[in-house]
Amino acid sequence: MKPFLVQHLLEATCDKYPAKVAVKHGQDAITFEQLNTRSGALAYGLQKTGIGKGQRVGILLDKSMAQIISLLGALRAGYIFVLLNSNLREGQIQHILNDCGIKLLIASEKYSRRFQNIIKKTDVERIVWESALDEIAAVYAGKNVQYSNTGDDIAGIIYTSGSTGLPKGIVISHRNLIEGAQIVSHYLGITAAERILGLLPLNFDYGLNQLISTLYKGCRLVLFKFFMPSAMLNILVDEKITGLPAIPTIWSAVLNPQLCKIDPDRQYPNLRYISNTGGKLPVPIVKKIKRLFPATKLFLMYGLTESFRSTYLDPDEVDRRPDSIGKAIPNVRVEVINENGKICEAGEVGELVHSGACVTKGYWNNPALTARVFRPNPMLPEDNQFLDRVVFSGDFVKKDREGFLYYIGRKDSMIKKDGYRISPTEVEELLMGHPDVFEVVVYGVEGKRANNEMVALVTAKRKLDIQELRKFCRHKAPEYLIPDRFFVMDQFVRTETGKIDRSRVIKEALAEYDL
Amino acid sequence: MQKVIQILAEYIKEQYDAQLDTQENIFDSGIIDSLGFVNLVGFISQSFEIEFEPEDLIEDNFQSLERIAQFILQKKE
Repeated sequence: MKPFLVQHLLEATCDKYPAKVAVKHGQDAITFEQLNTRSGALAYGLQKTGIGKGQRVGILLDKSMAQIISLLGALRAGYIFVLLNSNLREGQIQHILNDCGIKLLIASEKYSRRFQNIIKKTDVERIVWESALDEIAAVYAGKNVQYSNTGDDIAGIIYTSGSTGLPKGIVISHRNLIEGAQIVSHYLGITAAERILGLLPLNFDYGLNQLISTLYKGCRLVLFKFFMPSAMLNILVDEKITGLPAIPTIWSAVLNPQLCKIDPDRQYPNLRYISNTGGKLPVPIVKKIKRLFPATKLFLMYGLTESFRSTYLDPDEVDRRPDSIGKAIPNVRVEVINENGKICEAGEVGELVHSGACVTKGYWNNPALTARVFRPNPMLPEDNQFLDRVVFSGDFVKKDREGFLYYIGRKDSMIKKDGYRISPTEVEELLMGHPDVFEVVVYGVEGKRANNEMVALVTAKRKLDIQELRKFCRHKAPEYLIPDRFFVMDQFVRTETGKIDRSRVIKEALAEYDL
Repeated sequence: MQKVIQILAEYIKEQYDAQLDTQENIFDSGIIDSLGFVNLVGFISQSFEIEFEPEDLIEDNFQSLERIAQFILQKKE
């Protein structure tokens, strides 16, 4: 009957490959057996606190062995893990601690000074410091805990920045995590021989997936903190990395000649696949990645934390349609639904709706938002739609005749101008084609004039001439796609997972330029 | 030197609502992540009108606010 809990994946792999390295971080390495023993002992120790099954455990640790052991320890104790990213602002940490009522916190001492004041304003009763983890593991080594959870019980809550500013908690079950690992491992072809680079944070759903896939397949996860773009290229070679999951901002840094020197003759013989998620890769970047890693398969993935991953583009299709987000992942159905709740024709723009595996449980503490996003299945006969829950993604997409999907833009960010419905993404990609442009945020402003205005906020790689940029656009695109106003910014504010924080960038620009 | 450190510290305060000690290790601070770092490089490049070479981007030059300030002054010479 196993596996139905995340820890079953670890236990099964531990039986199979006890002495194999599971996680490597710098010079440190931990085997599956050690991971199993230490997380089991920690689970026993955590249960001694008596906070009770189903309680949320906050984990405020850097990406590390300790973080992984804490997460698994919390799960095996029957608790719910909540990973807190240390680069969140104080107010955001306080919101998360209060929102899900965290009583037990596992934290690094180095954050005690920064967060001591806010922790006082929460219900945190106990803090287990990082330095105590080894002792707990030693004291309770060999102790076992009994599991009483089911696969549909909550395993963790992932907080993501919403458009309202405060992070919202997406509730994930053991089943969600296991299905996600099984599906992604299947289409990426992950085996026990894999060495995956743990570049993404574990509080990001796809980063977490690398850990669960490692437990599932018995492969190796190499933790890595990305600061210097060139260091990432070095670790690929030094650690013989075979799998590189990344996000677009990583590639904009690595492929920026000012930040990273690339040796075009360098070989990456072990690198079997690269996967991208967390935003669409602009086509010029796709082409550069293909040139830099000619023998590596590139998987372009699309998904929201609410339903983990929804689609991916087969690597063999990337050259033919580099702008597509592909087709549904196995065990998932994706449809494009129009405003009347009907399935769109080929070419018709509608909202992407995800059904099948990986649909999460909803938003913690927020039934109203949950009901708006997690809705009855419109693909079922009308009287029986209530029998299933699907995710309305809020993303506009279209399907071509062969069933390949194309991302158009966020439903709530479409710009209506001169009778056109313009996707900010399309305009952003147009501007990104200019050699001096680094990143772009495009949005519409309503009101002041009869017609809506399209505004482009641009960060530059080097000195940028707006007149010249405008001319560049005119050569490449029709007039209605050219922004009415351009502003050059120093940089964009980002969310904790590294994406441009669009809503904050736009809000701050509106205030600053009095739009 | 102090002025440069102050500008950098104000940037950290404004972006992250957090304080970094002058000699605190930036990469261990947990305040700045990878992309925050790329943004910091962009900020330094614009505010101090420095053209970075890829060779400049080694952890040693960015270890702490003090170290960055030294590096900026060295580049400006």
